[in-house]
Amino acid sequence: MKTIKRLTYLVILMIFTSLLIVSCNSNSNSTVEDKTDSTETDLLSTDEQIPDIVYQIPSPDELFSLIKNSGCKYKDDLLNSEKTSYESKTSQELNLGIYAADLAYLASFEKFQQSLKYFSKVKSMCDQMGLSTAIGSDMYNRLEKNMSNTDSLLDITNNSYYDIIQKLEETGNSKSLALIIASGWVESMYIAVNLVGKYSETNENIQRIASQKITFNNLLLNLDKYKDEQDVSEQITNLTKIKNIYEQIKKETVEQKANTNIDTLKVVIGQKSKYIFTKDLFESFKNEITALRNQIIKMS
Amino acid sequence: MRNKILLIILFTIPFTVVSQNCVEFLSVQRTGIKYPWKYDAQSKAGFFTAGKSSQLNIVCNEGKDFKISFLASSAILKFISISVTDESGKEFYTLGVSESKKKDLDSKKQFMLSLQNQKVNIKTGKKRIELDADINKLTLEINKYQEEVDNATYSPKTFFEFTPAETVNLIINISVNEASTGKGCIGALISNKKAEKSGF
Repeated sequence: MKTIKRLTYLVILMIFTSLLIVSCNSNSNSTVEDKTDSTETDLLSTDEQIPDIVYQIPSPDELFSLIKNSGCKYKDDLLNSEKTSYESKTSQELNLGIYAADLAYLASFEKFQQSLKYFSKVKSMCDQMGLSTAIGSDMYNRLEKNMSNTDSLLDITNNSYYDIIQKLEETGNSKSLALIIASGWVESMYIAVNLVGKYSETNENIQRIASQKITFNNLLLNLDKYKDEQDVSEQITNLTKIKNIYEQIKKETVEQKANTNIDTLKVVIGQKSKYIFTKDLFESFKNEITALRNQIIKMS
Repeated sequence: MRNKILLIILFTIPFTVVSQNCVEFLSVQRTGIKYPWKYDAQSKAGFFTAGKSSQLNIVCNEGKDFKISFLASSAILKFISISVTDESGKEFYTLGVSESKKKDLDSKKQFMLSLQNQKVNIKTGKKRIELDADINKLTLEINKYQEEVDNATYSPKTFFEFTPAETVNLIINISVNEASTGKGCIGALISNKKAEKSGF
């Protein structure tokens, strides 16, 4: 009887200690706001070790913000219909990437009503794929309440993208993440090639599309880690034609003009360069990216 | 026996509850990024043990300014080395003392000793003047190297801000020294903003 009493006290003590430690821990997290330059944090980790090599690619909104800043106008016929549904796991993964890119495009061009629809679509696809906790229902409510605020729209849509990535990483779904990111990139490029308008070798957006050769290399190397899986190897094969086009795009260094305004306090990396992206290559690229994107959205 | 097992289970509860994974760690940090900087989805955190090294490849688009902040668990803080290079190996940033820098400093100190030994035997003349000049020059170099090594050891700069003149793939190399007895998370928190141009 005494032992049971002692154990009961011990259980209460341990639960109390747990709660105390957890609350202290969450407090320390909330105060890190201004410590982004700090190197010191105290964490216990349950993670598996980080891979030896990691290949990252920027989120779709990065490209859209640059394209929008260059003065490109929004086109509304470039989106995948939010009414389409997907059954197989691979089609869901690939089309989640497509919808995430569509949402980033809508948010970048401040299309509030449509953003709401596509946000719902991304959320319902996450739910369907067992990632329901990635985007909370409060996010939708927040988006609805801030329908006229561009910063909030971008903030909420971007955060939902990061949360999906985080959820997939936490649950060890790196392969799914690689597919989602790859299709998101394909959709971003599909939208980009259709927004840039008339071809000109010096068009800054056409140069930007050529420079995505670097992103594409990382994307392929990331997919390559899962090449033994059939769905991934199929996508790698599908990307071969794009790879061939990118291999033909060469780059030459551009000499800086003497009167160019350069902020000397900045650390500047690399040298200004120009991609030799001919009209024929651009047209081939546009055709291939359109074909690949249409193949993905027509999956069932 | 049953009581002992129960006790073991109970003692592990608090530590299991407070365990936090490295991915969550970044999601907390990203809320601290202030406008006009914006969180970059290429940020990454991972778990490191002694001897572990990892390479993070990130794409930095032309037209944006970037900032990479490094964060680490205190248990491994003194044992980590980080460098940022381009694909050709050109180094733009290092955290911790680079081995090449340490070797250079040691060889300069050795050379200084040999010059000072020569000085003992050469008392006057042109050779002596040249020797003094060499020693003075070398002293300045050693001081500069020593300062860099000390700064890297005791007050390292934990972030790196830059502007890519073209879209580039940067390689962030992170490693934890074999001598480390601890283990923990290391994160590269990347943020970006629209590139600023100076002047009117």
